[in-house]
Amino acid sequence: MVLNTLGIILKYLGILMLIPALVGYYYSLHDPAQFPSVMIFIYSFLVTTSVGLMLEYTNRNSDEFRNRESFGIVAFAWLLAAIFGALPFLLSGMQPVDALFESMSGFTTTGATIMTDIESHSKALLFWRCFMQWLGGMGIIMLFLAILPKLAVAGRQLFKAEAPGPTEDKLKPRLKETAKILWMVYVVISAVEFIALLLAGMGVYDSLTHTFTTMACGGFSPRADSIAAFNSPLIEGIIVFFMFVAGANFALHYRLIYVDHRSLLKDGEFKFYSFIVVFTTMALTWTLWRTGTFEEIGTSFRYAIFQVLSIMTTTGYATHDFNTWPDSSRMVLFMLMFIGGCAGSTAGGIKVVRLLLMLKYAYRELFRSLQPKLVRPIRLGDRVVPEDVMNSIFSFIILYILVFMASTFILGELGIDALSAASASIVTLGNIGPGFDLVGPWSNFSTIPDMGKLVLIANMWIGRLEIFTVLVLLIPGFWKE
Amino acid sequence: MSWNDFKIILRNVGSLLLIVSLLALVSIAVPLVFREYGAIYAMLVTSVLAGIAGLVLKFIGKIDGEIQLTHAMAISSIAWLVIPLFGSIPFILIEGMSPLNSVFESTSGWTGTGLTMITAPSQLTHTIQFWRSLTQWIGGVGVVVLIISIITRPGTSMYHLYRAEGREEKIFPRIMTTVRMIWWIYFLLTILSILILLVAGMPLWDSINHGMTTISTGGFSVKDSSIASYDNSLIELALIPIMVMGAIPFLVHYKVLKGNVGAFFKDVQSRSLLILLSLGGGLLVAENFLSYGWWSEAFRYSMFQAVSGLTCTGLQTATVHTWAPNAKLIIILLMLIGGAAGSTAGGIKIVRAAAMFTGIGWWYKKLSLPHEVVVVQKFGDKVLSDDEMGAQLNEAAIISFLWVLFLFMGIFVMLHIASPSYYVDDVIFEVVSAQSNVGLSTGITSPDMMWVGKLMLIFNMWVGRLEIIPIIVTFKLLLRRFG
Repeated sequence: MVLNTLGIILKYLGILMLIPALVGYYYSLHDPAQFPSVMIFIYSFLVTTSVGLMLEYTNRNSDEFRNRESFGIVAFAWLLAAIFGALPFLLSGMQPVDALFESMSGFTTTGATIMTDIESHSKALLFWRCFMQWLGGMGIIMLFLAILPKLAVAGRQLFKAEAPGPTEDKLKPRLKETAKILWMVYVVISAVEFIALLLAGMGVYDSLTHTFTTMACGGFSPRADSIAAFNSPLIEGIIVFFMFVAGANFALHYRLIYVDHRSLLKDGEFKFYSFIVVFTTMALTWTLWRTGTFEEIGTSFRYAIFQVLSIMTTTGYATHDFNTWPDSSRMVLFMLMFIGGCAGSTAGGIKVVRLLLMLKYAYRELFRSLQPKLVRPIRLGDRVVPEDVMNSIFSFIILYILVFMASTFILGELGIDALSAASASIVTLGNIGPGFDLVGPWSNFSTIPDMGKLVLIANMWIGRLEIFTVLVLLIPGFWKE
Repeated sequence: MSWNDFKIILRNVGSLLLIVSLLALVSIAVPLVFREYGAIYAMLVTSVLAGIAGLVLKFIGKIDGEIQLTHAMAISSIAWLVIPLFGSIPFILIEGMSPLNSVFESTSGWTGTGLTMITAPSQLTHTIQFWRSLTQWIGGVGVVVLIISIITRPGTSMYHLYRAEGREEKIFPRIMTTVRMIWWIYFLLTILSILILLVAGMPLWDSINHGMTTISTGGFSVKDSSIASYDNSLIELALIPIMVMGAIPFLVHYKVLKGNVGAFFKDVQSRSLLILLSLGGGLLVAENFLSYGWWSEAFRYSMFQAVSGLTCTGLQTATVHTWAPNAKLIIILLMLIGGAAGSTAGGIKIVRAAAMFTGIGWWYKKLSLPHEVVVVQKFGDKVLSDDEMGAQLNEAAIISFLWVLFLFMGIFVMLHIASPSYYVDDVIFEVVSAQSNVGLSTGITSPDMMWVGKLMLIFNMWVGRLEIIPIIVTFKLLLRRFG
């Protein structure tokens, strides 16, 4: 059953690889040097789809879905997608571990790269990198839920296993409908950003690829200097706006347009998200200006707001080498790395809603420590949050920190200094992208030993699926019949 | 908060100051024995000042009223600020230290931390050496707890005070009897520690001081480079069980003294303590093996530092500053977890770490099994219902969350202050050490540190000693009054 579903997913993933092949073909019309990339994608398509077909037809299909199966499907779908998504990189001559790293970083919308000379790669490959992020942003499973009737039967559990955040948003009673709507919203906002970037003077190729990676909170860029390559306040402004949109709940965007125009203001998580963005931007602007990193407060603001959104929404673009900023500013960014975006967005991290609920819980505990018999439910908007949701939030955060520390520890054992190790761990676990020092925005992950890269690949996978979905596989009882 | 509430708080803080006055008075015995006559007047001044302040507060707050839990929390938060202030007077008068350094030293003493502003403790007068040890010895069990054992009051007042200082367990149904028993056990353990150290070959005066600061998991030393000064592995070996005793709950000590030795292994906390020690210590030995080159050397220094970190004692035999980042990380984690709740040790406390650990496993099982399956969760020797286990997990997690929040505050400030030769991991180490009341140092804490850094660490020690909640409650109270 699980293998059958995985086969179907692989089959379609292979077909999606034909899109970069087309892109490559278009560019090879003007530049014959681009042509080999077309073949690379055709080979990748053949391999992926035939493996998919094989899995689909050698395994029986049944309708019996349980919690366990859905965890298995989601976890392995992402792993397989990353493995097969790595084929084009592998065929372009990358080392296997590097290729897998790049591919996992793509699908999980991390944006960490091991490419040392980005612009030397073919247009098709760079397109694929960004396209992977766009697919991964809204969720691979979510995409198939929307288009494949077969999967929709087991929808609820699959949806829960992949969806970011502790609470689920039911837009429509039927999950298929919800998934469709979310994808539609995603496509429409992407289209708007694409047009905006075009109008701001970016080329078609750059606009499209950057739209993909902004909306997915991914952070890959076909340019070596990321967004700094354009050095245009207008483009930065557009991207800042769309990063902010992509870091908020997509269900909320839908409601904003179709249901209630004030739904944004009523949403506790969105308000807190905005508050953190505004507050940290102000703090960062001030410290950058005071420490003399930038002479003018305006410039300081320009770089601060971009970096705050880029890190908080776990996108990972850079317009300035924030690694050279003073320690206090780096500390602010480091804390933002843990928070991440809103639940139901394309962003990674611990998520704003978890932090918010935790603060509310802490506030209530203060009362409870004085009046133990006090009954006072925690509310989020007009809903009461059940106590067992709090359990899951705390377990999640504890595990998140444990994984973070374990990974930092292993990287440290491999001889990487403490700050680089810690930031490399959190930026992969939170699906952010660039970190500090060794893995700063102007350098890349290629200097990390292979063993370390494997750990970081695991981080990205675990982080994107919010830990439980992957770690459940490690429980021995999980595999028993 | 009404004026009456305020009076209740003042009155009790006053009584606590009287205890300080009494302690200073008792300490005069030391200068008498060692013929340090100059120091007598200093201790007298301390005693008189604390006494007058205490009486004045008691007079202002003359009112009858039951102590509520809110009051108790405010009392202990304020007392733990005011007492170190008075405790700093001898440092100023006898050693001529600056007021800020003295307050730092005194706070580090009362909270049982052990970070120090004194570069050469061996040069100090005996009076000050003893005063440092005495503050740690009393602070280990708690000033508020001390007052409970002396003054009797009816009702639940006493239990509120008891809880406000981070204690919860009861040996006997009555809190007074419990506290008196705790002091007896503590006294006995202290004598035992001093004897052990004497046998291991430490001079008498050193044994008394180290005995007091080790069993209280404080960590002040009368030697210039802590225990490393002796360079004697027998002494180090002797100190390890003393530190461990200090980090074990009094309840367990009581049962063991009663003859029930098995209680030690039945208790979740003492069991976890052993596991953590062998795990953390083992990792640390492996980590340090490369730099020391000898298994025996690596074992000797790593084990001692692991025990000293986990029990929040802070005695030092190695220069941690030069250790590999991962070795520091291991000790940081041990310090964060700390000793057992209901002992003299600091940190987040083992019981909370254990609750989080079992809590995650429980949550996991619940998540991966079908809904119909009932998960039976054992915590220690108790079987907990779903609600109870969930509550345990949440409570432990929220304290840890707040704990880390306050740590971040300290780290943020200290990053600006530490000299460039110290890296981020050193700064984190130092702040964790302060907040968990450990006292291990990478060398950042020194008299030359900027005043902001000293204030920050004082704040971290204060917050850590009271386990955060009382302090937030007090802030809230004050804001409501004046805001």
